Amino acid sequence: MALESLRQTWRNFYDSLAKRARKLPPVLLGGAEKESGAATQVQRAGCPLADLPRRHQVTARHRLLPARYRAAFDLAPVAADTPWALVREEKLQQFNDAVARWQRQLPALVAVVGPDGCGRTSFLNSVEAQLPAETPVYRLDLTTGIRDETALAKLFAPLYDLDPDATWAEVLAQLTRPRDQIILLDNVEALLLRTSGAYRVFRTLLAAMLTSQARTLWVMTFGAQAWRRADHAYQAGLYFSSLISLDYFTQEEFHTVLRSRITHAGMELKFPETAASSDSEPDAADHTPPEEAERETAVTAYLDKLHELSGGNLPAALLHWHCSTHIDPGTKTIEVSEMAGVDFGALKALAAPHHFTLAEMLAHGGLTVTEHQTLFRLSETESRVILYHLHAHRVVEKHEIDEEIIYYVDPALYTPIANALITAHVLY
Amino acid sequence: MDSLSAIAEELSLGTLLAATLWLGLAGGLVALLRLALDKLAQRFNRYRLQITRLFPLLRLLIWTFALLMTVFVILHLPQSALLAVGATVGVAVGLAAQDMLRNLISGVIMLFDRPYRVGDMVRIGEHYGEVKSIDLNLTRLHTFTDDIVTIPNAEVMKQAVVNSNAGELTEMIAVPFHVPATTDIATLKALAHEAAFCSPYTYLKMPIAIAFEDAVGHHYLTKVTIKAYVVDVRFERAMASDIMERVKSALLLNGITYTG
Repeated sequence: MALESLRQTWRNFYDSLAKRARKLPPVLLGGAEKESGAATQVQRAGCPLADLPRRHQVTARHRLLPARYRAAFDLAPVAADTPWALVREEKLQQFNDAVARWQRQLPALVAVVGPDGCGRTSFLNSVEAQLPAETPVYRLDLTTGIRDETALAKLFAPLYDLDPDATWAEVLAQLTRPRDQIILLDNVEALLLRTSGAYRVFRTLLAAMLTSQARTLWVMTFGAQAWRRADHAYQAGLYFSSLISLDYFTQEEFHTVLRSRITHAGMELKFPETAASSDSEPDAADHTPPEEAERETAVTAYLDKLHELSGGNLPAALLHWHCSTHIDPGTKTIEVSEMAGVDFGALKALAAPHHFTLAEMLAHGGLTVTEHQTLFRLSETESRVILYHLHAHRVVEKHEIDEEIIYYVDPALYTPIANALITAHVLY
Repeated sequence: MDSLSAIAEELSLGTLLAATLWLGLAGGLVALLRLALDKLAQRFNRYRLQITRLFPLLRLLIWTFALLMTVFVILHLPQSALLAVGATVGVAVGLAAQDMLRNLISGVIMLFDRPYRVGDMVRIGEHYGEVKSIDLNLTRLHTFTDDIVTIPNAEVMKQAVVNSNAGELTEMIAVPFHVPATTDIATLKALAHEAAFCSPYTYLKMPIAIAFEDAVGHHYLTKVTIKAYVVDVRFERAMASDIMERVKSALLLNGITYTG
């Protein structure tokens, strides 16, 4: 009797644990829940991280597709006038409040902060589009690390038609001139490199911003980790009067964006028989044809699944999208196949040097071999070995800017990598 | 004598086997627990200290429960006989193994009083290292020279113990160095601060402090001490060495003589 009650207690405990485990996002589990009829089974063995297509492969495949589809499913940030750009009303209102404050000549430094892939650049595009036309607007997109004042001066010099060899004092004179201007800086993490000299760069800029803020509205975008670093190292939180926090798309926003992209691609989603079938009975009051209702249910289920797998991170969702769709330009259909989660087991096998490298990439936006070498005081070969290893396992991606190879964390993989680093206590 | 024969009457081969099996099971459970906690600590490094510090207490509980079950339930020994034999054996063992008992009692006190926990960086006497285990009679330290130092718990209780991180994953590191007294303090301060900031092991959530003192060697000197927190106590030496490397390079680059 007592044994039976003990067994029952254990069974209850086990069931409650299993129920909680099912609620965890599959992305974190490293597998995806696979619907098969009424039964739900957890597909543990997802696609290994190293097998995920790389960005350049996705782009190469993309080039062969119809122009409308290409435009709608491009991985790049979207312009403000793009039909599928999401209008973040609440955040825009927050920005407009900051502008109104600045117009009353009150201090207004604006920081737009969010995790990689949440749409910071797209938000900056929408902000730029609605700025007062009478005020000069300057925009700088930082792509490579700024390591000293000379490089900082070189960055700002073209804005004021200064000589490329202009000193920082000359740039500062322009910044502090008594006239209204708006400066937008995208990817400020490039200023936060953890090397000698670079530490002073952000302080120099911060001082210039504080001096000029009465007449100059500064708007800067920071990666979530870069903002934390700026706050820890420079107390940035004290100086920025307006902090606009962006996050990944909610389910509703996600549906809006993806549906809009599908519509503008001018193609129709086609589901396999099993995925398209629905158990729900058509509503008697609903006059939609049964086929249409069935298709609608399948689209909703597909987008829900996509949101679940990506956590609302659009680059991650688009990666899943590209992996699970086959485009037929002839029939103008997008054939959708079953989606599997990603197996992030490879992240567990990384050692401390890899963890520290990834943490710096997240805080800085990307690293060249030279930057890695300086940062970790390693030889060029040692740095290359670490970066090549991470690249070979698809943990980082690389791109070339001004003949320099920059290694960076793919925004699509931001959440699992950041979680792994937080667990290892390398990110904080 | 009567008590012993009363106990002997209660024992049979079956009960002795069951008791052995039960104790073996407890030993197995403790080994499994250690393995599981080690794996968990490895996987969730952020909570490593909280996880590993559970082990000594859980082990004590398991063994206490196993022993009580063996004596009172499995062997089912008469209490009067047990008291009589216990008192006699207690006196004999107490006299013969005083040191061991002292260590055991110290071990139990330390489990509750906690001058340090598993994973802490401590200095006990001349030994400095990470606490690897706290057994009932011994404490084991893993030093930076990769030695395992075993210290009896009674010895620990007799002396001052310096605990560097007190249960936290981060810890303050002091990196001292000397330069000629004529060196410009503002330049030194900037270089030292930057060296600490640039080290990837520095925990930037906590402040970096630079302290200056006068010192005398062969010449008048300035002693500079960089105080910064390390992200994980395991990187303590790596961080100190990294900062030192950066300081030396920066001093060299700025034409400042490093004097040790």
